[in-house]
Amino acid sequence: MANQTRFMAPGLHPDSRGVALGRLVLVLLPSLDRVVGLFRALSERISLDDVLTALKIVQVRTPLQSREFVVELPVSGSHAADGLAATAALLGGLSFTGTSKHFVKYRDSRSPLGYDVDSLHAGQGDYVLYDSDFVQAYQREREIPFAQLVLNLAPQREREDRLQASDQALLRVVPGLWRAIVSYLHRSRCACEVAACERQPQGARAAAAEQPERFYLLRCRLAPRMEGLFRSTPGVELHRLVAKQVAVELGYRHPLALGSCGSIFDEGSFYLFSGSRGALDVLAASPAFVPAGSLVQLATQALPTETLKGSAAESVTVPLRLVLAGGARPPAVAARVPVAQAPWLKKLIYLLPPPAFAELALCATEDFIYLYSAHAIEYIPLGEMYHQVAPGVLAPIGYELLPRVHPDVLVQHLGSGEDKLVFFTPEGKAPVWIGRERFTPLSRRALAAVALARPEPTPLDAEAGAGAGAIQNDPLGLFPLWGFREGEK
Amino acid sequence: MIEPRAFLRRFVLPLCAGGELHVGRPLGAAELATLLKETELELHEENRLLAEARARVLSSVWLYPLEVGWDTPSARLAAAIHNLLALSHPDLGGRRARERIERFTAGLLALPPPAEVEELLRRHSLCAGVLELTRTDVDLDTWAAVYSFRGQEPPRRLLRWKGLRRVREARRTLRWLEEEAMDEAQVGLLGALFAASPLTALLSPTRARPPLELGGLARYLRTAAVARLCVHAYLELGLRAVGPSLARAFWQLSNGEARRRDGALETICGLVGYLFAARALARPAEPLEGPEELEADLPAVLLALSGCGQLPSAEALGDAEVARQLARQNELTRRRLGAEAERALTLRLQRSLAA
Repeated sequence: MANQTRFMAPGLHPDSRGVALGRLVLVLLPSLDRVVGLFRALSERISLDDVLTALKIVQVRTPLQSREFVVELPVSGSHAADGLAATAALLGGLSFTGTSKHFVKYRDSRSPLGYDVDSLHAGQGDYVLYDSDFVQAYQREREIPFAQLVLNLAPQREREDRLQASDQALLRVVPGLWRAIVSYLHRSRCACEVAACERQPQGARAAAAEQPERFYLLRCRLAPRMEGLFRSTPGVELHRLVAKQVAVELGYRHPLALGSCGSIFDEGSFYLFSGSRGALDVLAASPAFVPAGSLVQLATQALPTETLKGSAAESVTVPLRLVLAGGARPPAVAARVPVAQAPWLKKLIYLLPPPAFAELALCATEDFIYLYSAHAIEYIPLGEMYHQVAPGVLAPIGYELLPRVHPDVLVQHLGSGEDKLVFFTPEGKAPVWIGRERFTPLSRRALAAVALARPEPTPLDAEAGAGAGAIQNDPLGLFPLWGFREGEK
Repeated sequence: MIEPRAFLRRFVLPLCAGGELHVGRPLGAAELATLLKETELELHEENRLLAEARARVLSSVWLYPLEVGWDTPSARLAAAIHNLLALSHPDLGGRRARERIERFTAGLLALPPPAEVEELLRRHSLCAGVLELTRTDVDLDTWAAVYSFRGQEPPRRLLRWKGLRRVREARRTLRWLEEEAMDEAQVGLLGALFAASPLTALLSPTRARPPLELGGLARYLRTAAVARLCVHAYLELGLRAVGPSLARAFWQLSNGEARRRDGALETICGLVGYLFAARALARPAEPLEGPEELEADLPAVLLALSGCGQLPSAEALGDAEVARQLARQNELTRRRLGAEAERALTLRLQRSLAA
C-alpha cells in the first residue's frame, strides 16, 4: 500500500498521511445493543450533531439470512477514523471504509496505510465488505432513525447524581401539589416559573380515548437542602435541564450524552426523560412558563431602590434628607451594632432578662447586626440607636427626616410597613431595607449564625458509626446484680 | 456505680447515632438517680453530642426544629432500654435476678403519656434506635466442644491453633427486635416501651412484636402534623408491607373496647381514608391488591369505610382525580371480594361505629 495513489476499490483515496480512506467509515456490529454502546462511547468523545446529517444505522441481512447492523459515519480524515475504529473494536465491531457499496477493511497494525482489493466482488448486495479474511455482500433490510433510537432508550440509575450549583432544576409535579410547592419555593425566595402541561396518552390508552394526563413543570434553581426534599416527595419528580428543551430525571442518566446530539430534538417540543416511571414525556409545544411570583400572594416583594432615585420624578420632587434634630428624645426601637462588636453583644445576651428574648429580633448582615423590638429596645447599649419616624421607617436617634411629610405618605413612598424596615443611616449612603421575615427572635439562637468564634470540640469515636446500633455485651462479673436496688432505702 | 458520662457515650449515644452500644450490669435505683443528676450538667460534651444525634433522628421525620435535652423521661427510657437489653445478656443470673430487673424496668417504663407533640417526638428520638438494633453472635466449633457467644467476642485462647484444634467459626448478625428469643416478660416490657413512646409504635407498624395496637395511639393521630407524618412514613414503607398490619390493628380496634376512647375508631377511619387519598395523589392509576386473609386486607377496610359513609366527599378531598382514584380502588376491591363480603364488612363496621 505504500506510496499507492490509485486504488481498485471505488471511492478510496489517500489522505494527508497516506492512509487509504473513503468518505465514510462503516462499522459492522452484531446486535442493536452494541450499536447503542458505540453511540454511548462516541457521544462522550465527539459531537454527534456534526455527523448526524450523513449518519445511518441500517439493519442488514447476509445471504444466509442472518441479521447484523451497519453504522455509516462520515469522516474527514484518518485521525477521526482511527478513533471510530478503536471504539468499534472495543465493542467487537469491524471497521471498513469506502464511499458507497464497496467498503474495504480500515487500516490496522498489520497494514498501517490501509487495505485495497484485487478485484471487485460481482455478487448482488447493497453493501459489499472486504475484510482480510472474507468478502461478504449484505442486503439492506431497514433503516433505524437515530432519533428513534435515542428516544427509545430508558434512562439508567446513577445513585451519586446530585444537582450542581449551575444546574437548572425542573420539577414535574402532579396537579394536587403544584400550588403548595410554588408557595414553598416563593417563601424560600427561590425564583421559579410554572407551566401547565398535558401529556397525550399513547398506545392502548390513546386508543381507549383516555383524557390527557395533566401535570405541572416548575423551572428554578434549588437550594441544596431542597434537593433531598423534592426527591423524596411522592408526586414530585426532580429533573435536570440538559438542553434547552430536554430534561432528565435527577438520579438517572440517559445512556447517551444528550448534549452531543441536541439537533435530534425538535425545537418546538419538550422532552422529559423520567427514570422512575421509565417513560418519556414529549410535549408537542414548548411549555409556556409563567413567573411564580404572579401566581402567589405577594407579601415580601423587594423594594426597588430606583423608587427612591427616580429620575423622572426628580425634577418635581425633593429628596428625603436625614438632618440633625433637637428636642425630646423619642424611644429607641432598633439598634445597629457593627459586627466588630458582636462578641460584646454575645456577652450581653447572657445578661438579658426573659422579656427581652421575647421582644428582640435580630438580623445579621455582612457589616452590621440589626436589632429590632416592636416596643422599645432598652437592654442593648451598643451600636447606634434608631427611632421610628413612621411605621417601618427608622432614623438614628438625634436625627429626623426632611421634608416632614405625614408618616402615611412616607410609608407609601418607601413601601415600608408590615413587610419591611427601612433604615436611614447617618453616613449619607442610600437607605437600607430589610424584610421583617429576616429578623429572627433572639430566643431562637439567631446569634449563633453570625459567625461568632467558637472552638469546635473533637468528635468522639461513637459518633463516627452512624446507622444501626450493634449490641456489644460487656462482661458482667461474678455477681451481676451486686448493688442493684429496686428502690431507695 | 455507674459513671453517667460513660453511660451516655457508650450506650445512649450509639443507640441514637449508631455504632457499638455496650450493655453492662443492669441499672437500679441508685444508678437512675445518678443519671437524673446529669440533667443538671447540660454543658457536658456527651450531652451536646447526644442532643445532636437525637435531633438527627428527628430530622428524618419532623420538619421543624426541636430542642432535645436530657431530662427525666430520657433518663428513665435509656435505663429501661439498657435493662431490656441486659435481660438478653448471656451472663445474667437466674430466674430471681431476672424478676427483680423486670420489676424495676416495668416501673421505669410507667411514664405518663406524652402531653404534647414535642414530648412525643423527644421520646421517639431516643427509642427509634431500638427498631434497628443488631447483634452479632459467634459459634465456635472445636474438636472438643461447641461454644456460643451472644454479642461477645470469643476469648483469644479458643482461637489458637485453629488447624490443629479444628476450630470453625460461624458469625451471624441478627436483628434484635425480630430475631432474639424473648420470654413473655421481655415481650411485655417491649410493649410497655412502645406504650411509653407512642410515635415509635406508630412508625413501626410492620414490627414482629409486639403487634401494632391502635387503641392507645389514636389520640396522637388527632394532631394533623403527626397523622401526616405517619401517613408519609407508611407510604414510604409501601402499603403492600404496611397494609396487613394496619388492617389487623383496625379490625382489632373495631372489636375491642378501646374504640370508644376519644373517638379512636373514627380517628383511625380518617387515617385510612387519608392514607389512600395521599397514595392516589402520589401514584395515580395503580389500585392496590389485598392479601388472601380478609382481616389483613386494607383495601377491604377502605371499602367498608365507603359503605359506612366515612370517606370524605370529592369536594372535601379537594381533587376530583383523587376521588376518582379512590372510587376505582373500591370498585376493584368490590370485584375481588364480591358483594356479599362487602355487605358483611360494612355491617360489621357500622355496628362498631354505632356501639
